[in-house]
Amino acid sequence: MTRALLSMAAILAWIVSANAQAPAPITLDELERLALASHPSLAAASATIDVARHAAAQAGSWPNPSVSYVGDEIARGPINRGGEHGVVVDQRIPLGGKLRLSRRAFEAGIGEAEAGRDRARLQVLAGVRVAYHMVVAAQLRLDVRRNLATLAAEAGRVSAQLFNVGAADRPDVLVAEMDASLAGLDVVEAESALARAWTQLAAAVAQPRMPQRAVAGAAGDALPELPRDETLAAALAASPELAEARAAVTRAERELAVARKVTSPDLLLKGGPRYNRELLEPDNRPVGLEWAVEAGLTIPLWDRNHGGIAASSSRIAAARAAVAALELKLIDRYAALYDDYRTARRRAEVYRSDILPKATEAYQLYLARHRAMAASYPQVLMTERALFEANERYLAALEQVRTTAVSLTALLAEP
Amino acid sequence: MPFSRRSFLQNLFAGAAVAGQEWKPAPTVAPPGPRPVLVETPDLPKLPFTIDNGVKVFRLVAEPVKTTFLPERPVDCWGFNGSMPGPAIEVTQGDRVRIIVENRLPEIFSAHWHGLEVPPEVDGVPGLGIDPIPPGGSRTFEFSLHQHGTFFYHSHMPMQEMMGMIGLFIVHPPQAYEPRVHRDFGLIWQGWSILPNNTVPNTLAMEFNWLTINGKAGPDTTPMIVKTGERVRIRMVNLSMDHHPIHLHGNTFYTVGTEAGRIPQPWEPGNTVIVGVAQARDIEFDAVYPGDWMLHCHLPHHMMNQMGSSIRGEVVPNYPLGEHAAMGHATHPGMPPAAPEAWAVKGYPQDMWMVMDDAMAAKPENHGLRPGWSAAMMGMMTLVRVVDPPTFDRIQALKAGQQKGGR
Ligand SMILES: [Cu+2]
Repeated sequence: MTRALLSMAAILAWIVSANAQAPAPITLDELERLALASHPSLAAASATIDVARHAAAQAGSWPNPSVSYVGDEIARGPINRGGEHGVVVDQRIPLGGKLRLSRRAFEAGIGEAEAGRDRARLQVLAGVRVAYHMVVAAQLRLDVRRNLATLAAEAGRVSAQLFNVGAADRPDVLVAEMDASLAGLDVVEAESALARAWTQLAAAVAQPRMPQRAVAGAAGDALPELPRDETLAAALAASPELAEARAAVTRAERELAVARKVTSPDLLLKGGPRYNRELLEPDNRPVGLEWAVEAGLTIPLWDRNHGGIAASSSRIAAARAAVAALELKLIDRYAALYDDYRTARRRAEVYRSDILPKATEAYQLYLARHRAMAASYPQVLMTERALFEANERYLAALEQVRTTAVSLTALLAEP
Repeated sequence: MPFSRRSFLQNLFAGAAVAGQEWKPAPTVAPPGPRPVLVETPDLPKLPFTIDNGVKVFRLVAEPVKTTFLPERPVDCWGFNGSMPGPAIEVTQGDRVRIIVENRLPEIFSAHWHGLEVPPEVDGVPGLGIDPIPPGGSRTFEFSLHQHGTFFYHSHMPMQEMMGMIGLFIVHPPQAYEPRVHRDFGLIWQGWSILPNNTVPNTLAMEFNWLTINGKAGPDTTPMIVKTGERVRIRMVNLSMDHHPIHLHGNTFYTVGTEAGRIPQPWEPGNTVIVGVAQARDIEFDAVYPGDWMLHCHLPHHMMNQMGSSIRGEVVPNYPLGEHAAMGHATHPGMPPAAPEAWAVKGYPQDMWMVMDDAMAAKPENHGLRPGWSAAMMGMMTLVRVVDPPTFDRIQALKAGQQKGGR
């Protein structure tokens, strides 16, 4: 068993070394840094936070006073003979903490925008990680396909040699040649798939014109270990989407507080100096400067903002329901993803611990026997082919384990 | 001094004028003279020689050979001097021979003189007594022959043997064996495994779908022509992967020799003799019954050409089954059709009768055979044709005409 594992390690090392030939493979950390530095989703999310912050600042501002000219008791005659002329300053003073409540409502918008930024960040990172694992898998798959194609070409030559000693028939040779052509097409397909995966990765890190290069990553890296309940609990606790939805509830609650106070009395102050030109007896001098002051309250008699309050209450109910719905959606998505993850992980484990070591051993045994002239070369080729095919299926399982693990830990309703 | 074929035949005609027409066992008188008659090897040439200072000098060339087992069945095998099996070497006890062996194969080769008591350095076992002959190389073997009998030469590389590298090495005694024979034939029996769309024998295979006598499969084996009343010897050598029980129809023969020479009398009578791998058996009989007598291996699977295919380890018949059954199996031209409900009988069909064209195997030796004869001749089958003198002469004339016209 140890020997088989060592053999498998050698195969994996060989796959890795095929990778390592490319210069300076880029790592996942570098890719994540690139994305965080320049992804437009994050810039948009930051701008949205600024919007909310400025809006909150605005929300606490006092209403402006108004200044007006007032003329009174103006009669016909020369303008300098009678009439009152003055200035009135009008100021509405919001009472009941309306300004504070409004500011608090808008501040909830800041929290919501910040949660939105966290969501965008997680979406970007999840996108980068999934794209990264897909590129790694595509690289490894291309290596396996290239080896399979080499093998198929060799099998074609061996068939021709067997035909030459009468041990293969012409149709056998034709089938082997056909097989080699198909293996060549599989390589072309794998090359295209790698190029496509790279394009997606480049888009995910917001570097669409980033030239294609090798990505660091190996089939033999440890498999992610995700206990079902703990991972779900952690993902829900850290979910920026849930945080965003809860912030929306907070905002709605604060908006209700605002709505409740909208029609509460405001103090209305009005007043100012005026010049009274009316001539006073007996010395016939004008009355002169005098002051007028007026104070009042708005009375919530007809409009107590019933509709607004009810609308705000409903908004709260909607926001709370949205939180619950989102949580359900996340749990549902988690369940489906976890199923895929667990199946793929089991498959990867069985390939890693059982199938690949056996396929490797079978291949090596036939190779050794062939070298001792006790097995035919087609037997070697068949076991080698089985080994490569097992490797390809193993890679598919690895790709699924890693991409689903990203989606499970970065649990998103809208990935 | 070598005998020429012409003088041999003239000698034969002169001594063979006594055969009667009536059905009556009546051996003719043995040909006069102490010298043995020359061996006839149907479908095979003799290896010519020159004489150098009393030594018979043969030139044997090991090389790839293109041949046919049937007229439309080309085969790429290996043999000697353009022939597979190789041409027969025919000498006399006491001769000294020098055989210059040239290797035109793409690999090493070594010639072995099977059964001859010669020094180890000329025995031809590569590695043990001698180095192999490299491709393009040659080696001279020279030795004296103190034995007589039916021997053979072959490559001492087993797979080269299976590619066809064998030939008869007949050593006559100075005086003919008693009782004297009028006819002395030499046959080599071989088995082959050749895939249907290939021309190269698979020398590692253990199942054989082509069985040949002197490099031909029935019905393309050339019959042995004998005049009624003549005494006949047939020397048979087996170099294949099976022991062949060789059966002669309509006659009783005696096994008079092995691969080591003459068997002392009394001989046991028989009509089937097992010729084991690498053995020789000489049989003799008085051809007193006119007719076309089959001589064949009696292993049932050796009485067919490519009768089955191995598909994923299962052998399935090559005759028409399934939707193609109607194409030919149930009915053969000139043969009664199968019973109407034949397919209801478990085991049907077993008849592997193949529709053949007599004309395909047309040759002077087949002159006068019953129409449809070729369908009876498959695999390791040939004929001893015991004919009256006019038929014999007619066949000889046809052969002479054919030789003149070119084959
Ligand atoms: Cu047989």
